[in-house]
Amino acid sequence: MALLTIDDTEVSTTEGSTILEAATQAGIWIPTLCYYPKISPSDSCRMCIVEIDGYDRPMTSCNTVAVDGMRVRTDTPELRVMREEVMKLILADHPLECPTCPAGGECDIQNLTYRLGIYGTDVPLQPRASIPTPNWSLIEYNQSLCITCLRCVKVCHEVIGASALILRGVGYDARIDTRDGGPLWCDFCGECVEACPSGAMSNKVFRRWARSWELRKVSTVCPLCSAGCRMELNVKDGQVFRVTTDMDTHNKGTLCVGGRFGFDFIHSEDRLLTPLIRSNGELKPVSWEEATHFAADRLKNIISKSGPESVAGLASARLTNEDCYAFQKFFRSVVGANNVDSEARFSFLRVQRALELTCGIKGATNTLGELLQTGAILVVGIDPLEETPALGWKIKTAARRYDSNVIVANSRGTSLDQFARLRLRIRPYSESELALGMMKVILDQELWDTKFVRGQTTHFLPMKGLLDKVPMRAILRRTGVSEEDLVSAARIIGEAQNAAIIFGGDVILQETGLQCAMNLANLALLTGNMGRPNAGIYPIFEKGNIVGLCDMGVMPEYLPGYQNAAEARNLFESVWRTGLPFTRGLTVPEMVVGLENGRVRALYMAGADPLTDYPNAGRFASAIGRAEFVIAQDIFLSPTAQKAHVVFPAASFAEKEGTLTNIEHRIQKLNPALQPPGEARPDWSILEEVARAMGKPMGYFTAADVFREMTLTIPFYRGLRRRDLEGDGRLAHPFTDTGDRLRGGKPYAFAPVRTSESPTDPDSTEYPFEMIVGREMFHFGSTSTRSANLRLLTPRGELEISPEDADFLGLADGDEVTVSSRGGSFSAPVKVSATIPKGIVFAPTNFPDMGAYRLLQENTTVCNVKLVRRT
Amino acid sequence: MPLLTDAMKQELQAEIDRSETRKAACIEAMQIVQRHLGWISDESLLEIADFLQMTPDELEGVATFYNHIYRKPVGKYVILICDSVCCWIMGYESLQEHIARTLGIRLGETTADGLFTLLPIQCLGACARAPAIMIRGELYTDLTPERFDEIIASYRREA
Repeated sequence: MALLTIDDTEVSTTEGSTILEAATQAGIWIPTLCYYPKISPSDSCRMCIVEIDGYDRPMTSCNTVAVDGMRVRTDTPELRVMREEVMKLILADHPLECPTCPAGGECDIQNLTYRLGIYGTDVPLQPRASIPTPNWSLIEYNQSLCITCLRCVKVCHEVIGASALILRGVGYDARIDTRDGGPLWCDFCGECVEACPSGAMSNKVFRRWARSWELRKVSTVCPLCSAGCRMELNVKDGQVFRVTTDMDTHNKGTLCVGGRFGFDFIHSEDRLLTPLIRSNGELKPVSWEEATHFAADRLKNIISKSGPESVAGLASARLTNEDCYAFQKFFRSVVGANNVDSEARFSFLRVQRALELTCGIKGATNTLGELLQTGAILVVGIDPLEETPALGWKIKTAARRYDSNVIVANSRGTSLDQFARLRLRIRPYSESELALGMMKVILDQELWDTKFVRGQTTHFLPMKGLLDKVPMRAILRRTGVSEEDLVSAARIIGEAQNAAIIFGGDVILQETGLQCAMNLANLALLTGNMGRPNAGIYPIFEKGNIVGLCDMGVMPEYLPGYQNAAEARNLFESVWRTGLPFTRGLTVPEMVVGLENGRVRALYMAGADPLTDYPNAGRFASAIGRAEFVIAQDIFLSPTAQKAHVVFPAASFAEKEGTLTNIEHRIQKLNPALQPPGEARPDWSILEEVARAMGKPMGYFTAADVFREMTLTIPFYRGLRRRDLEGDGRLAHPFTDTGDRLRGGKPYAFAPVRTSESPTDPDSTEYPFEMIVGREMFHFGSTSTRSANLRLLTPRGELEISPEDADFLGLADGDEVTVSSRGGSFSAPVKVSATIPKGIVFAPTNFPDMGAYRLLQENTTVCNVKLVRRT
Repeated sequence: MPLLTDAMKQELQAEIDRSETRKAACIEAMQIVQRHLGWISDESLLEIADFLQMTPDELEGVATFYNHIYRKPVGKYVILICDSVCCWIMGYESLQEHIARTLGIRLGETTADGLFTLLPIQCLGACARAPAIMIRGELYTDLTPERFDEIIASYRREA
């Protein structure tokens, strides 16, 4: 605590704050130019100078620490003269092209000149001989407008960790350039544009098409990944022109390429505008009236003939919580069956089950912000840059500024390798064995938390008994990690005061994901990193509202809020005023079997695109062909929707109200910025329309109605009001109170240890490569492949291959190859990538036209393939 | 293929033993590796970082801070030309011109045969005997074009 006087005002501030921060807190304005709150102070522009009693010269307030008893003056005639001088020098070579400048209206130079009352400069204007504007994607740099304040360079280095920009040259030649001088190739987060005080760094997509003051800013949540960053849609004339941010948010105003540039899928020409009905084999536009009645009549007909169990539904993580809730209610109350499921079946549900059994939670135990204070972070099977970039920045900051020891275990190189104390290049899908190996070392070296294990957990001895039977040799062979590295990794996690474990798609999507998540949870329990701050376990999955999708009970086994029908039946029957089905309901694999044997006759899909998103898409494609009646509601005509009999056009995140839940269980509110295009409607209201046409209305008139009902039925939503969700939303954890039954009266329980053999393919001579599927760096799910901005960066899915294998096969970047397994084949251009180990190829699943999932057998994300060059 | 040999690791370990923490030996460690390999490549940076139990990012921060830790390949012999006031007065420019004529390299460049790299250095402390250069820790003063050529010739013989 420091007490100082600024301009005759008593100001108290926390120890270590700068004078500028203290003044800002007290509402005293000090002009700044190179200062940017997200980065360390540069103290180069001299704009923020103040006079301090006892100092014989002015001091820069941005980096002078406030000390108890200081007397500071921020505005004296002498300071004004100096600031004016600084501003005039900047204006001497800054072209006054404000009317055509992309920053016009929101430029710090413009605003400061005006606010300081400068009406011209007596220094003769000498515009810089500027270099030609380099031809970069999405971002443009104009040297003549640049004041080399380094805000862009520092934000790129300190916040994003991409370090793509540098300052080149001195004096009049000084300019921002890429590290190698070539065209910019970076994460394309656009933070440099946001940081730029002038128009030097500008957003190519936005330039000159709207002026800043014409834009209405609508605060909302980015739906593309599960980090749920807050952002502002800038709207004019019913169009989103760009995305900006507010620094006063949980993501500190930082966005990735998806949030900043990926929004334009909402304006794609491919958006569905009217309902469609299939007639004579073709989908034809019809009215809502006709479409809803057609759908309702067919559904009623099928239900009356074959019973409600013959109708199945698939929802998706694209939907809001309200949409998901309405979807499962539609099935449980209108159709009368529990046949609702989603892609979470192959991903997040496995993890939830594992974590529920061991830790009694349904997702991440701690918040993303707590990662900063950890002593060690184990990052398994995820490259945050590809899945949830916001998480990556937190890990990088934890490693750099807070000295957290990061261990990266992945079968490919990742964006975090540079920041890691230890990199473990494990064999594909050996994450589970890695966790076991670390546990063995931790037990051997007595690094485990005896007090925690004895006091708060159960089933330790049975687990240890099983673990002792697993030979270390087998673990080393399976993971391909050296014993030395394994021991180091175990020591780092075992010795850390607090350690967090983060795991992602590579773990969650594999067939043995449940076991693997349990083993990682065992590791967290063994080291006592559970149930306390700055530690814990974080399952990360890319898909936007995957947590909300599960919370809302879009699965056969649970009602909303993970409630068993046996216990919550009365509650739901009284709120819904209808009976609940007693049948068990079908999961996705059971639906596929049902479609194949004719038991399932109709399929209703909301936002789901199984042909792109589900493993073993090939089998699904032939199964869906046998369905008598398929309804799809989506924003695009996805490959699956193309097979539907009725298609309803849905509203995108920018066009509807609703809430989303992010990976740390933060419930946040979407605010509509636009009218839906054409006749598109929010998903919940489409379901309500169909329900009404079937004669069983659900009683929803607005999204708020759905939310209100959620607060009545879901325990962890109880008492929540929509206005509580303004700003950063609310954290609401679905803790389960079934501890007594599942975990013998203790809060935590060790799970039994099991090892699995590596999935080997008998045809490995014919199919010599192991293909891993994952997510492309610039795309999020398949929705973003409709974004023209992101397609500019990656137009097509590429097959990544190691340099050794490319050499051996004589392949170079851009060569077309056909990739085939026993399940199917696709063709794609090759990209030679040093992050891929020999013998492995990597295919992104984001691209519907590529369909990498078609090659996979049931439930796996790895398979053996062969490559043939296409001529 | 690891770049750090056992001999190098022994040298690094000796340096670590002299230091208070493992990390504290990082500058000397990079100098040792640079003496053996000529420069610090991404691969060797990674190995040194692992040996010192640092992140590559941390070590990179140190490496790029110091001018004389080379993150790009340099010639076998690095000619450090004194870039301070006395040398400027005493023929620094004409010496540079001579080097450009005879070796064909300017500041920051390497000869095509990979033998010599020319880099500026802050005052070598031989102001009374300017202009001065340093090659492999050896100081050469009172330089004339002829004397410079002799020095270069002797290094060529050695190489």
